[in-house]
Amino acid sequence: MIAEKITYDIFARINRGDNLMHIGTVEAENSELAKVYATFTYDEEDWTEMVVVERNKLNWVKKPDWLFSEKGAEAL
Amino acid sequence: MDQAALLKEKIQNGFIVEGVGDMNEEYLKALKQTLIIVGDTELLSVPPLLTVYDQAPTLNNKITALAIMQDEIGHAHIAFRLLKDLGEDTDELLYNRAPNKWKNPYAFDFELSNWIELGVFNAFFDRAGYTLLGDAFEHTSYGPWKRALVKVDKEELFHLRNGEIIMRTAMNDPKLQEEVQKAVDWMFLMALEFFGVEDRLKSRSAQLEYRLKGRTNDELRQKWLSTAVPFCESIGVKVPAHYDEEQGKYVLDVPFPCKFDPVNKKWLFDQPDTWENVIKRFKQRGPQNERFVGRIQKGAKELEQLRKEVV
Repeated sequence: MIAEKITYDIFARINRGDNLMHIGTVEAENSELAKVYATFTYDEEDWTEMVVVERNKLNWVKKPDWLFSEKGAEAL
Repeated sequence: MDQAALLKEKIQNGFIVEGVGDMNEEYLKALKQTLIIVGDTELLSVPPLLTVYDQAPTLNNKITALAIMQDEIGHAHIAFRLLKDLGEDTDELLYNRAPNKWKNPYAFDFELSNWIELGVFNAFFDRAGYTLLGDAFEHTSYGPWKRALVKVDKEELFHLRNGEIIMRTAMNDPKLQEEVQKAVDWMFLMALEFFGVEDRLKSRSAQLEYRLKGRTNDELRQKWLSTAVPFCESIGVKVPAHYDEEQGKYVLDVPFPCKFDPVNKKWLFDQPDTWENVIKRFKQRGPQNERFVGRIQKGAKELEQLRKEVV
């Protein structure tokens, strides 16, 4: 049985005092692997902090007001 | 106002698209096509680089070459992750797509002959990538791509500088000067082909109308020439282009487009060609297309086979 891949969003801060930014995404079977993939894929800065978060664990308070509808223009 | 007109007008006024909810079908299609070209190009740059990386003259050169390949795979990862978020089946695209359906530049379907060619590859082809993606970074209307390009822009600049260092160092060695010139002779026009058909032959471009990119093919080609030509001249390499004061732009001294002999990696300047034929040549793919795509797909296919055997 192959483990299902989970999407993780990655946030990082370059220097102390900087904003925490969304810098990318990875897919992984678990959060330990997600941490490894994030470290090797997003090595463009010597980050002070980096965190991986399962995308479906993010609790959205607000999403953009879509120009058309959530599924796009053709769904209207 | 219809949906396409509304979206185009908003984009021309600076609207940033953040998700499928802001898109019409045409935008989504053009965006996916663009990201597939970008992802394929990043990923398929690695097999040609691998053909000569073990010829690196120093350990430092080798480490740099490997770091560049790792970057390219990272950039491909970004493009394919964006595609997956847009609903594409990326496993299918990566591991089950026929080699001739990949959209990487024709220039990447060739083995490199020596370490110098790796330098020219970085200096010319990564410069083309930097020009194209730098334009997207500056102008694209798709927010998630714009943010992802911060990393890509920074790293592509490092790659092209690495290429310039290899070329400049080689030009200081009389034994290697000829190799540099030989590499430039076939790779210069290859780099110009990255930017696609001439503007006058294109009726319309969804990429421009939806501002996936900001500059036209010819404008981007000029931008590439404006840094590549002065660099080559500064190190004493001859290139078939010069700045024309009267026209206020770079002009080529050879027919372009032009027929190419893929076996000898040589342009046939006595045989000018049409863009229609160039597109045909792109679609037929170059000599290493199957082998290079095979290399990308090999591991996934072998693992798949092993899984079947175990079950």
